[in-house]
Amino acid sequence: MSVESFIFEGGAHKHELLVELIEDLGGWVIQKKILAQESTITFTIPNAADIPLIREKVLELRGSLKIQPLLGTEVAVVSPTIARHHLPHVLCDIAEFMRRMGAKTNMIGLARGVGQRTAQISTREKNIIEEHDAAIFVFGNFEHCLKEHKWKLYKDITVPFVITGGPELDSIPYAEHYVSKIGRLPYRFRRLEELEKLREIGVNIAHAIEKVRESLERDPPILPSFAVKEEIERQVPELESVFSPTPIVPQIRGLRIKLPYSQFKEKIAYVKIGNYRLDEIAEIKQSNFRDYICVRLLSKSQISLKKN
Amino acid sequence: MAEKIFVENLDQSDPFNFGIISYKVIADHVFTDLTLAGAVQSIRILIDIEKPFFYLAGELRLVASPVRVSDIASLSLEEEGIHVVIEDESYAPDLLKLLWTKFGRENITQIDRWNLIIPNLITAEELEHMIAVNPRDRIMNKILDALNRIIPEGFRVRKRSLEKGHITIIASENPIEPEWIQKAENALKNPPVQIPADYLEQLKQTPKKIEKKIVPWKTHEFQESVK
Repeated sequence: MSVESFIFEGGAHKHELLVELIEDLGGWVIQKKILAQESTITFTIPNAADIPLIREKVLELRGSLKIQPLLGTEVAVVSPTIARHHLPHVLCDIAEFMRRMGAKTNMIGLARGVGQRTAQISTREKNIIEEHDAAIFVFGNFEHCLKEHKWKLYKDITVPFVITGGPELDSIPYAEHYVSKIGRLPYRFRRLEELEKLREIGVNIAHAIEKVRESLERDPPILPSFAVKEEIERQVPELESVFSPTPIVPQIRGLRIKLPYSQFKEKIAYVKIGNYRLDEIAEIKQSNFRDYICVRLLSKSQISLKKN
Repeated sequence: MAEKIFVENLDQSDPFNFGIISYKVIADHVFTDLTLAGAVQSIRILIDIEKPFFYLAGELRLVASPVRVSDIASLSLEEEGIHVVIEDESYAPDLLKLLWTKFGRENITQIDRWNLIIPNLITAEELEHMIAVNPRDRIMNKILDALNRIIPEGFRVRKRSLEKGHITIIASENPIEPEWIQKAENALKNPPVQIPADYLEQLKQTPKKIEKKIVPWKTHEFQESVK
């Protein structure tokens, strides 16, 4: 199932027509924001052949349509620490750019990621990063550090990741994707060619995520995470009182629900999805990230094994 | 400012590698951000990344003289005590801090933003000659802040010495060995080498020509492309 994701920006007047069309095509509205007369709708449709229909409708509504290659993914942007040396400029730019490509980003500063010999990552940090669909590690400018020392931080990460650093290198150890010229920089990205670099990271991440999707295609879960999200929103009214802008974050292999695990684990487990309960088709566990609920959808074969 | 900062590589096999060039850019930005160009004569940074070892030698120029109370405020004798009128408000927090420590917080009457009454414990002349703030301390704090921002964060073994306008900071991750310092001091005897301009050009990324033509949606061309 190839999923095509878009963002629509245009007038709020008659935007229901678009929402209806998306529902008719079997797609899902991920987020709908109406601010005064403006509306912003992010959505996906299951079939790429239906894109002309959507484009025609958007043209009729006089809005704009942009492709969101990373919609429905959660990406971690990781820096060695949260000190001034590493943090504000480069990381914020990367995170914001990934957001514009549709991803939900979380910025993570490691506790002891700095230095050469002393650089290290803890198991808890590793678990937090592995709850995401992909990760971007932003490192420094010295070739020696990148080649000899920094691989300790990302060697054992199992989710796909992209490394960025200063010098131009063909490859660095244990990493598949490397983007050069984004190291420790003292300024924000302003110029066109720097935006081009950010786009390169986006393309790399999209490529890595596409591989995960392909491998998932062989034995997919019975429903995509968007459908499960919609069902949970309908059956758990407490989600309306959550203050975060996205109370449920869809991921490729599951969902993150921003409700306390101890109070809501049973309520989430008993959500009815078709003929199943959610805990029959998914694994529900406590997230390492605050007290959130982490839902991992099981594949079709796992569900049939569980039944017998 | 850029010509006052020199970044050099102690490992002479590859003197202008990417890390060295980007450190020059970082140092330039930090000093211009904090507006410290006037307070510094020259800064030399020596790096050996494989040990790792970071040596920073700076010549400072701290000429500003201390600011006295008479420079900030005018005093007059009243019945209740000495009436202080603050004329330069940028130093008001320092003046208040001084008066609070001298006479106690409860004795200072603050009428409004600019007017204070303090009790007759000393004469107005004595008060006029008191040092309210020393700009040298302020600038020194700023310089140390700037240097802390430049030095790599992971290099936690540090040695700092400050004598007569000359500052030296040695930083490393491993215990610092005397030979390293000796080598750096030998290198300091040579005249500083500025990174050539064409190496700095490397950091600038060349813009690519955008092939995709952007068509406004109102045009006939766009309408056709949708069909």
